[in-house]
Amino acid sequence: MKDHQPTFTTDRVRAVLLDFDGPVCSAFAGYPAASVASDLLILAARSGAGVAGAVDTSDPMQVLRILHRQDPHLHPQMEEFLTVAELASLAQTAPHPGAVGVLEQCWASGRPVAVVTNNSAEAVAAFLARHGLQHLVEGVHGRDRDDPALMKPHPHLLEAALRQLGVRAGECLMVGDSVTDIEAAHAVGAMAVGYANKPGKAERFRALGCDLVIHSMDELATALKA
Amino acid sequence: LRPHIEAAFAAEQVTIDFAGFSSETLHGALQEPLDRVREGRTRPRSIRIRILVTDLSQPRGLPVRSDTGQDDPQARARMRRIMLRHTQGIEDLVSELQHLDLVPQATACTRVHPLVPMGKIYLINRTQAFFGFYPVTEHRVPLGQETARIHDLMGRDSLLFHHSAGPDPDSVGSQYLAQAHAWFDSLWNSIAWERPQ
Repeated sequence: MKDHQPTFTTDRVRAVLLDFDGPVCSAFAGYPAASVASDLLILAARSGAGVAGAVDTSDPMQVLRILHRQDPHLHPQMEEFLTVAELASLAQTAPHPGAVGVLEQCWASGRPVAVVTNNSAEAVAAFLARHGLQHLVEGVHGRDRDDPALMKPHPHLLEAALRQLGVRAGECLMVGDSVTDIEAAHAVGAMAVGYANKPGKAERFRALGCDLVIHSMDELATALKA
Repeated sequence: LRPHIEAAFAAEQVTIDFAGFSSETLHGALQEPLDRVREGRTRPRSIRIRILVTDLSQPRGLPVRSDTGQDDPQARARMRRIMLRHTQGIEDLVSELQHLDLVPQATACTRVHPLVPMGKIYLINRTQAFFGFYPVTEHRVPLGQETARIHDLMGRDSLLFHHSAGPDPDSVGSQYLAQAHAWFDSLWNSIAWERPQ
């Protein structure tokens, strides 16, 4: 079922900011997110973290944020572990065909693409290179290695991408499958495309005022062709 | 370049003549100065921008495939779309200033011609010229199922050479500006035509 809001057109879109985990591939398919999160906590506890036992989350990024606040001296180790976990997981996964279609359509229509992700830039760049996609992407803006508080929904990464691409936020489309992507897009003034790849997301995205809700990346490639 | 364009907008009458390949860098350089006009921080009384770029609706000297030296319609169509997007973007940004009554006279106009430029030039307020060479570079690009290598122009990071016209018409700077304007006008008025939508 298509969620195409008839008033939204892509002719004003000069550039695209693309979330990675979800739209491009399943980043934790090879090493499930919940396992990464609990392994991070185990590592933290073994390294003498204070309140690791009280953390209850299956989101490794959330664990990273919490540990950074409570035990900042352990952060470099935690960041390294998460990056290595992402590298290992991504080695076992491939890009969604629809995502490749979007990248190619952006390239063909002269719209630069930057990846804006809470994953590590190093892991994402390695993935793109391995799958021959690096020349379709102008830049990868991954989480800040020193400060996980700057991850989406914080607009920091989007602002860096906009500066690199040299475009105005209002001319950019941010494509993501999470509420944090939409929030970050609105924070900088970019248009937002919500990729509803799970039940319930479409309603949440519409409630947040997404410019466009898609159920497959192919829909976005089609919209960009117009 | 950007500080010079920003300074140019402090004048009452602003004129920018640009000749290049796609106008991508011009678009980038104009964003902030035009934002400042929109915010009312600078108030020129007139803005006239003329853009002269290559017509890519037919095969030209560039872009071409590296292997055959022949035109590639897909790569050329893509570059044409980039040029359209940037020139239309500049035209919209500028005409909006007049529609919003921020600047009494604000126009940007694009003409295309069949030549492939060897460099790009910005002529600002008839007193400043910035010239940069366009090296031919090879890029790997996706074309359908395969990846091809094409030759095209790389204008993004080229070093710009600056000339200023001064009170002495015989100075190098003044002569450079006079010659550059004569060159631009000759192209603008002879073989160039209005960019089709």
